[in-house]
Amino acid sequence: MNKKNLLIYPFSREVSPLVRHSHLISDYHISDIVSPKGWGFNNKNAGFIDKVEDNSLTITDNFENSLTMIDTVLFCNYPKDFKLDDVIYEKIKFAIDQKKNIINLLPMENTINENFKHLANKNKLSYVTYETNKAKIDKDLNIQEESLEEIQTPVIFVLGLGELTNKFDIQLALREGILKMDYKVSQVGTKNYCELMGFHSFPNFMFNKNLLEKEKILLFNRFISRIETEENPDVIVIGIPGGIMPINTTFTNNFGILAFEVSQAIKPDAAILSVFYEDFKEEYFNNLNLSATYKLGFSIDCFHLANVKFDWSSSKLEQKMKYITINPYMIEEKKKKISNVEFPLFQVFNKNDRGKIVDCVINKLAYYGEMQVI
Amino acid sequence: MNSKPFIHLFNTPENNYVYDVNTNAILSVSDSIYLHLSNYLKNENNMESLSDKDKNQLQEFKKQGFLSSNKASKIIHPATNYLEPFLNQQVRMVILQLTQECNLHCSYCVFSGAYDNRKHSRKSMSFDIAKKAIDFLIDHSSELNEITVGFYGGEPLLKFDLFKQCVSYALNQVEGKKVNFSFTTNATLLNKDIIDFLVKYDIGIMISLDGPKEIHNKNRKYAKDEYGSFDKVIENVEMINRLYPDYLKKKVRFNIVLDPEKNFSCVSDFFTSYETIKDAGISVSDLAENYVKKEFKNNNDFYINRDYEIFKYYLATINKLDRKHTSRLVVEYYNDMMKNMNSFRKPFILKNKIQTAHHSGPCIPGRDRLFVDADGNFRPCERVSENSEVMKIGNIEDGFDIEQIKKILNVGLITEEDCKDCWSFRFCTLCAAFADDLNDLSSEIKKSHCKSVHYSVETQLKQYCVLEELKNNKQGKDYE
Repeated sequence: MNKKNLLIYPFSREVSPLVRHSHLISDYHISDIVSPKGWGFNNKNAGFIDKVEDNSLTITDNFENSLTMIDTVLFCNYPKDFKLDDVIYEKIKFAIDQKKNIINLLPMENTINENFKHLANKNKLSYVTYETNKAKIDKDLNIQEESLEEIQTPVIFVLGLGELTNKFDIQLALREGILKMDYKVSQVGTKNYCELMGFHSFPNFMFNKNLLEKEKILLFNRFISRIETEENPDVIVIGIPGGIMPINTTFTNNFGILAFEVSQAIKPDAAILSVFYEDFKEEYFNNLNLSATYKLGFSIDCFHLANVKFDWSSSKLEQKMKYITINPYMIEEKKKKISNVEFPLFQVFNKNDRGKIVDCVINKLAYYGEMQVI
Repeated sequence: MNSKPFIHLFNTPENNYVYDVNTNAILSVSDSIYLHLSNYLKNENNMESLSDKDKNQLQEFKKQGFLSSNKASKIIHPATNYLEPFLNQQVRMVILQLTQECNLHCSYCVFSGAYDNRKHSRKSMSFDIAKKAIDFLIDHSSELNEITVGFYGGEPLLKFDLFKQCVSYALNQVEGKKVNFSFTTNATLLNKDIIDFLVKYDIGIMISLDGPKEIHNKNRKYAKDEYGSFDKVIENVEMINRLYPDYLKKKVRFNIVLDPEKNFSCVSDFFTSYETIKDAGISVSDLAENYVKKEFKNNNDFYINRDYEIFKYYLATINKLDRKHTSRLVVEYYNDMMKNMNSFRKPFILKNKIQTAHHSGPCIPGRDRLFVDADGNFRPCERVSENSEVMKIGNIEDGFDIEQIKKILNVGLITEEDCKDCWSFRFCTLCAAFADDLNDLSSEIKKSHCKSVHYSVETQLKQYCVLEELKNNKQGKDYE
């Protein structure tokens, strides 16, 4: 089937994993990646943002010139604290004027989306918003009973100590590796564009302020149970957004509430925890495992070392969480220095490690599979 | 092996304290423990004279992780390993030297000839260099959602056309990212057009104003005729107030250089009572001490008055005095003290010993601020001498000189053994500018400042503890 040419705007680290794993997208070929002016990405390769090798595409900041050879524009989330609303509205209008189909993943008021949809349809163009409320609170997700439904299919969790811990890259590496082994995988991912790659984005109801925490837990349990029933997978991979615990008393990181709720809804059979780059001591990983075991109810099977470091000094000074992205080679150097850690340590931007992460969790599941408990 | 606890002893009129360096904690101790520790540090061990209660207390301190003798074995700044990503991705601010010319020749100016620095000249930055500097900032700030372009001189408003070009260029290069602008001005050249522009682009200004007319005019005079600039400055401030009173309130701050030869109270009263500026933000600075050729004369009365105002402000913070009787000029001092002693000084128990450390003081050169002179040379900030070889950290064509930046960042290495033993290293304020002999970093020059750092930190510790004692006045003592 001919894939349509896709332009991504604004290109940032929110969407860079999609480019690295673009072969997972069935309907589109990513032909252009455009960042807003002045973000420092112009003429850099696609891997520049994450300091990784990815020369597949070059980033440009000229949106208008990039539209010529493409069919569809994907407007996607960008890092918070940037203010791009007005720029985005203009670009959507311009793209429609240039007869391009639109996929808009940005949260927008219904009226604005409706207006754009109307304008697009008038020009015989499609205007799609991938609503992550596929998991709507409807009669299929029945939470009148307070008991949890059992999930029979093996489940793998991908968690992190915080945002920006490469969780989505790990999820995609798992997906690729498991599919290669000819297993059928159902997946819930930590981005809102997962549907492009044929799996589910993390459901919106988990962020709904009008629901009780108990209701969210039950809904998530039903959500996974429904996926299991409808898709009949061999394995389920669930990425959990955010962090599993506070950084400290100043940076509370949403207290790891989401991870706790998911851990109450589903118990994983294997878990990967991604940590910020740090001056690690060996007992760090033991302590994190203990914390996960007692707080979340499951142990960690392997750790991922992200190429993002929490910038303690700037965070303290500015009273906001600040990070610095480092070159992945520093992680390889660090791994050599902490060789006595009893947990496997991986880094997804190391090509050799990608396969090893998959092997680690699949071997764990296979080990459980050898024990038949009825 | 040195097993003496790494501590600093100090006392207030009411109490004795131990500052524990490893845990950053302040411990309140009895007279006898204080004396014991004091003697112990002087190699006079007299454990036998301690009571059982005191012995138990000391044991308990040690059990809790206090009184450790651990010191860093190596001086390395923790940012050293991350310099490349910091400088490639997180440059926050570029300061453009639009011109070296100024229409005032202030006597304390670092370019007046009284400092080991360049002198006033007509050299100006070209728009080409300014553009490259702004592009450099944009290219090296990919992980930031906010950047700042600052303008410096001389007097930046002498090149207002260039100023406008730079603002316009910077705003046109950026989408979705906040671009802030800032500059300090002597305010003599402000006019309606300039003010309209500043308001339109929401550009904050820092106006140099040293106090009432007699005090301001003593130092801040026109180059051409040595006439004082006060009248013009005030006229322009009043114009801003007339045209844009909100802008004056929110975006205009005043920088006060305190001259110790002048009357502190007069300056203080001016900024409290002059109607148009009494509510404006102020920053207070002392005369620049680095690179000065001749030491300043000390005026005891000035410091006595200032310390008295600090004392009054402290009383106000514990509700013993109405704030209307206090000086605005000491608020920053109080806030800095509280930041150091309260917000930043969070005691912690070490599970692992410190192995590498660096004293506080240095910024990350180039990342926190990047000063670009008229020729496109890079320096860590506008406060280092432009005659200094050691402070050159690159240029607009070649980019950063990472090795030089590493050297400036790790200035503690030149006084490594002293710094390892220094109890105030967490509060040190010395950066490479305090060690600069223009050709290299000098340990002798750096060490000459240590005594005043120790004095300042100990003073802050004492003042903080006294305030805590007064707040917690459980014994109901009469401090009046």
